[in-house]
Amino acid sequence: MFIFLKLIGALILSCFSWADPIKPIPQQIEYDLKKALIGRELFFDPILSRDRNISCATCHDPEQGGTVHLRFSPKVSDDLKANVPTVFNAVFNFRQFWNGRAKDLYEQAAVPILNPDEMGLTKEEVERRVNKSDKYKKMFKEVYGIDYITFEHVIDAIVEFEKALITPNSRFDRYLRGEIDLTESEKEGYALFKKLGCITCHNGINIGGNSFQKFGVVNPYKWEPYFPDRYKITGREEDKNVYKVPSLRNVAITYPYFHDGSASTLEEAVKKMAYHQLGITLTDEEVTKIVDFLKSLTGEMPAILKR
Amino acid sequence: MLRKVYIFSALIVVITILFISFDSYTKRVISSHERILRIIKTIEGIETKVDGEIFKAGLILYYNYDKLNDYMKELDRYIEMLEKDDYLKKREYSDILNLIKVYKKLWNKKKKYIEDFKTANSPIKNTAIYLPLLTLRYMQSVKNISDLRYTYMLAKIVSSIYLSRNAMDLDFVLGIKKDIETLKNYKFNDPEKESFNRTFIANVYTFFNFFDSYTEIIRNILEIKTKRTLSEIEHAFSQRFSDEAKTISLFTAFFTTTFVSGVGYIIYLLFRLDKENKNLQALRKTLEYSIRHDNLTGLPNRYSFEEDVKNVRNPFFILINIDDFRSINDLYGTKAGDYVLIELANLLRDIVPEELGGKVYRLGADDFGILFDAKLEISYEEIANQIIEKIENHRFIYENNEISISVTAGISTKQPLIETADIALKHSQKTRRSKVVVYSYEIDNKKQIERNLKLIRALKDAISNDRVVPYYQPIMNNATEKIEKYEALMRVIDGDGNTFDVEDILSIAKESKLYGQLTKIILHKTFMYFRDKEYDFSVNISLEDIVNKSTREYIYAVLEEFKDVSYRLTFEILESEEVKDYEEFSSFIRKIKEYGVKIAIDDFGSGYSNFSYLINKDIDYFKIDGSLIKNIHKDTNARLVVETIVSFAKKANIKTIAEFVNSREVFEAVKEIGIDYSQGYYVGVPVSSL
Repeated sequence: MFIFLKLIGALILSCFSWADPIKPIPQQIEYDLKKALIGRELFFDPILSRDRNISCATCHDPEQGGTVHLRFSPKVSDDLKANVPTVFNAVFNFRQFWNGRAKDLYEQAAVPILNPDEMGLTKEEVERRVNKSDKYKKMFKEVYGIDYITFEHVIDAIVEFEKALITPNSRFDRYLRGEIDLTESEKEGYALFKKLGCITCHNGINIGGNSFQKFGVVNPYKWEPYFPDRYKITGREEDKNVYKVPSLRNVAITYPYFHDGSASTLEEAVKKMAYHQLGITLTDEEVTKIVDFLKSLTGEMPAILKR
Repeated sequence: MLRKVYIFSALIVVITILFISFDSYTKRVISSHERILRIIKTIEGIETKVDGEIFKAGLILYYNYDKLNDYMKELDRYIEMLEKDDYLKKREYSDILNLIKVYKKLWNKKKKYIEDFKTANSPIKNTAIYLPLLTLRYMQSVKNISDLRYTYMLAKIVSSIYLSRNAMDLDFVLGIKKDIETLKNYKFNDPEKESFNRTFIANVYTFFNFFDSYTEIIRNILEIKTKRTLSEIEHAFSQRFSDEAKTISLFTAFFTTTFVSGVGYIIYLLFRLDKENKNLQALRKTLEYSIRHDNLTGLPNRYSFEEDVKNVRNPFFILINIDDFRSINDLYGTKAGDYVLIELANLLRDIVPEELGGKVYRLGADDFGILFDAKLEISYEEIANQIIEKIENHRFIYENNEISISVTAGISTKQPLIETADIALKHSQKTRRSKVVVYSYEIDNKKQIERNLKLIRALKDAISNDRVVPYYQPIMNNATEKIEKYEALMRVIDGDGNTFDVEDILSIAKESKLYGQLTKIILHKTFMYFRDKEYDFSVNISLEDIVNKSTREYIYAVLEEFKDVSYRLTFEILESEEVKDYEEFSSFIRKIKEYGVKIAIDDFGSGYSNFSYLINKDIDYFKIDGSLIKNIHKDTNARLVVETIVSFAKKANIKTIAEFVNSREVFEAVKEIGIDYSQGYYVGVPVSSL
């Protein structure tokens, strides 16, 4: 009976598993370096905030994995609190924000700048500020051939920079490419990752970031009205606690976890996931293995930041 | 016709331009159509791929959503391309654009379904797969499976869920609802088993929760009319295009027909034009030939001659005229005349030496010309004579009648050739001295007249400017060897101080009625000069002066005026002049004799004379002609004649004067013969004053 069931399970798995549910991050991505360098300048420049005290990098700190190690974004409102998603590899996400309300980086990049609760500028103010700067005027003139910098140009440059923020050559990617072998623990962790079904949501190049899924499928997760979920957009009851699956790339350095930053360690996050999504409690051994696997997903610092 | 060609060519050009622009329009339409149809097809293809990915996502456990997302984004881009396509922005395509908007709306709806699908698919798939694994986990951990009923129920539930998921059939799920209830109420003494049971049931419920919406979502995805809308778009667009294509092919047919028939017509016109052109050309050639050639003989004509002459550097031209050609026509008929002309033309063609490049022309009725470009070493006059000889020796046989002709030729090397040669020819015909006459100014009256007119002008000019003056040549008494008298000789000086030739002046003066005036001037001046001198003096007058009343009266008046001097005057009259009116002449002689004027016969012995009957009465001197005197010292014949004249003169009591006594020898001879006076360079040259 036991053998019989095990055989069935293996058969089902083998029937429906697919060769490459996860793809490595490419070494290079197509982007305009000259524009990206302007974008880098802007990304770290606090003139894009009302009080000139924060920049994009304040919340998307490359030193902190492209995010910030806080539960919530430092700039939040009462009706919207969210953990800061990493800017690293964001280009590979099918939509942006926890609830995917921006269809791409262009839509996303403008939001925090114009959000009164965040950087709090208007398009006109952004244009006024950058056009007053000889540095930007010169750079934009050189690269874009323009005399007046519009808000769209500013966003374009920032997006070009964000495109460059990819983290290739993680141990796992190199394993996928057959360059190195993972440790037994890491490999077993990956096997568990697949076997337990984590991979049904965390798949693709970003190991996530390509579908909306409910947090608390089996065992419901508490819901707060300020959560940045799909419900905020659709208003459908079933969309409560439905989020864009976050990428697991560099997950080891992007703590704390979940939309509400409620898990501060990987172990905690893995355990919570197992409980809410599968309804099981993992053994410590299983958790360790999965965490080991997750740690192998940390890639290299984006090349453009090393320049 | 040429204008027609132009008009039609212009038409063709216009049509071609229209056609080219129309063609580019057609190309644009076709390429736009292809492009849009391609986009529609691509959208269709991507949507099929999306559907395929959805299927895969449902089926494959470890499915990667990236591809599905990529396809969806790609489809978005293509819809945007369609929406932004300028071609569809045209008013007549607004319905298509509306259909595209409908499609976009449906697609956006489908996208939402797909997101929902993804959200539902993961847990459904996960639980469906996870439940057997969970069961396995339970069996692994429990080790001792005592409760076979529980295990049976687990297996039943798991297989039902598996079946229902794959069959998309809720009935299988409903069938196990009771079993789930049983499981829920199961009592466990082992907490681990209880925990498992709870997890298992939660997973089953998760499946239940999602499965309802899952099947509905899939139904929605399958039923949404995106593809039908897409094929509607395609159909409508193709329909619209085929309408447009009909118009295009209609226009194309029209253009092609117009173009082809236009070109055809032009070709026809050009063909006709070419034919006409050929006829014209032939006509022109004939005309040109007849312009340049004589119809009868086929020889080049006068026109041709004028053309050729321009290219000849040293022309030598022989003009040949048939003597009394008219009589041939009269005698034998004009046909015979024509025959002679043709025969002569052929003969000339034959006999004119080709190697010298002589060309034969017929220049008039019976005038033939031969033109050479003369080379120095050749005697063309001889050639001309040979030609004439050959012509005159030729026998023209016309209807058994032998016609011989004689010809006369004029030769010229001076332009205008025909005119000058004609003058020579006329001269030859007039003089009858030679068959061939070469043109010269001398025989050219025209030239003479020109020269005469010039002289007359000069003479008149001299008269009015007092440039007619007497020069005086001394006459010596041979016995005393003293100068006793002078002969007044007329000199006419031109504006530059040069003296005119007296012979020229005299002949001109006679013809132009200026002679009398000259006589008057010289007579008066001479009188003025000699009236207070001791010498005798002589003045030349002509019979014309005597005949001319005005001169005669003038002479009388002068003689009267210088009554005291008149006895010293001698009038010299040329022997060669013919006295026509003896009465008049005699009365003149009588009248002047009253004043004691003497008469000398000038150039006596040079020619015939009818003075003879006068001799006895009135002649005072014989002025023996210079031609007899100048060689008298060695010419015995001349001496004989002179001696006779002298002896005759002595008997008639007439004094003799020798002219042209240019040397001592002549003087000695003259003196010896007994001539009374001598005149000539030996004695003294003419001078303007003594």
